[in-house]
Amino acid sequence: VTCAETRLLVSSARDGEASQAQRAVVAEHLAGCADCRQWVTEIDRLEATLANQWTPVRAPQGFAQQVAGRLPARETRRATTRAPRWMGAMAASLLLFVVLGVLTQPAAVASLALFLRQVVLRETLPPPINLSAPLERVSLQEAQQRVSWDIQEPATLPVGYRLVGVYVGDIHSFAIGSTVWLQYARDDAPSSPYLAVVEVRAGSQIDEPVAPRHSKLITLSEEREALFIDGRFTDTSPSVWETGTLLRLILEDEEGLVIQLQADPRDGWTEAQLVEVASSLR
Amino acid sequence: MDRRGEKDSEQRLIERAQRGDGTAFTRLVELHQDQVYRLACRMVGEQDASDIAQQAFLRAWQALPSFRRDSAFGTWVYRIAANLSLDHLRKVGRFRALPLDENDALDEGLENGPAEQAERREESEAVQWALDQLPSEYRLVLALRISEGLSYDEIALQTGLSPKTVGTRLFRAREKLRRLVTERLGEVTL
Repeated sequence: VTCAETRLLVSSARDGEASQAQRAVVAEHLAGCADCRQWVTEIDRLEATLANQWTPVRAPQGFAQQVAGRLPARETRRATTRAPRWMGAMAASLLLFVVLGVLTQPAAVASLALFLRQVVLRETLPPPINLSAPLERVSLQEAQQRVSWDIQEPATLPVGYRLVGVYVGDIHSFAIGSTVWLQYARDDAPSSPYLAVVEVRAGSQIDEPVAPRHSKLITLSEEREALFIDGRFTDTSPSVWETGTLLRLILEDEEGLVIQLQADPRDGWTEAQLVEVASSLR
Repeated sequence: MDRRGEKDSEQRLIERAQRGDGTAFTRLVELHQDQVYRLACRMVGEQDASDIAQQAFLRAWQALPSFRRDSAFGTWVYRIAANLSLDHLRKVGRFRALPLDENDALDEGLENGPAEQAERREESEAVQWALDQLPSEYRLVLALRISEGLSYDEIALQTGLSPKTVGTRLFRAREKLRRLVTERLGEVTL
């Protein structure tokens, strides 16, 4: 081997990255080459100086606290400039989406409270959600008596869709009062295509990350805008942004009433349909 | 706690931080601050290291929602710190570009005669001077290898190079550094 090749191998050997055979080649070459032995001596000396210079250092005292003091509100790079309450609605959606998985499976309803607790601990921010009253199935009239706003329902729905369930519960820590969940579908079967209308009065901000370029503001009318979100972060590890399984359209009024429509695009739902249904809310 | 336990625990911290939990994120900073700060020190010097390291964590916080967890958090934030360090060197005019053909790196202006023995202090100053002259990417691999003790595979993850290129680059970095120091000491003692 040449001197250059040997020196490259010496460098690797110093880093513990040379094979035994390579080390043998190096040893053989060095035994007969004074120039390379001198080179190794110089490199040894250089690295000793470097190691001496690069003594172990630690981050300054209070470093983490300094970082903590500089943490800005996270930019979620959404297409909106208003917003604290949108964020609350988005957190609601993640939670409620998971809850839906239970509600549509009758056998699992009994364990709803436990399930909710697990979901809540995982998905929401402090202060913790009030778990004393998980979602319960009620009539529309009972739900109306439990909340301070006039529950809104869509006047326009796809053919065959009807209200198949009303649920209410004090499940969101950021909400003022109860959350109402209206479930529309063609029938009660778990696999039936559905539309959910979730209504909640938001009282504080909750941040929910949305992948860039997957949300936008839509103008419904002169005084009303809605936030459209295509996709969701999966509840897997690693969590990834998944499109094609959830569309959300979120509206908010002056008094903090947040209404979210959500549906599954695999059922044929599109952004335009959600906008049409949202425009018909009464 | 075993390593698996530590990893699980860090995973939970990451999940909480991704959902906006600043306390969980601060804990992550505490776990990785020394390593990140040290790299910044090696790259930009002690004066600017704290600022660069803080910026690295702040960037990580902002980007955390899109962090895919297919690499370790430490590796990720470390890479951010490395890139910020290189950016900083560019900004302050201390960046030293890699030669277009890395093979030429060994032949630049290094004909100043044989090395002579020098006092330890002189040698140390010469090494510091040489580090500042060294192409910044060479300095980065040296810091990752010598200061941090990372393997070629780990350095490859940080830099996006292949492990083989990491080995070659480290060799070139050492050789360039050796020649620069020799040159410097030759000047000093003339």
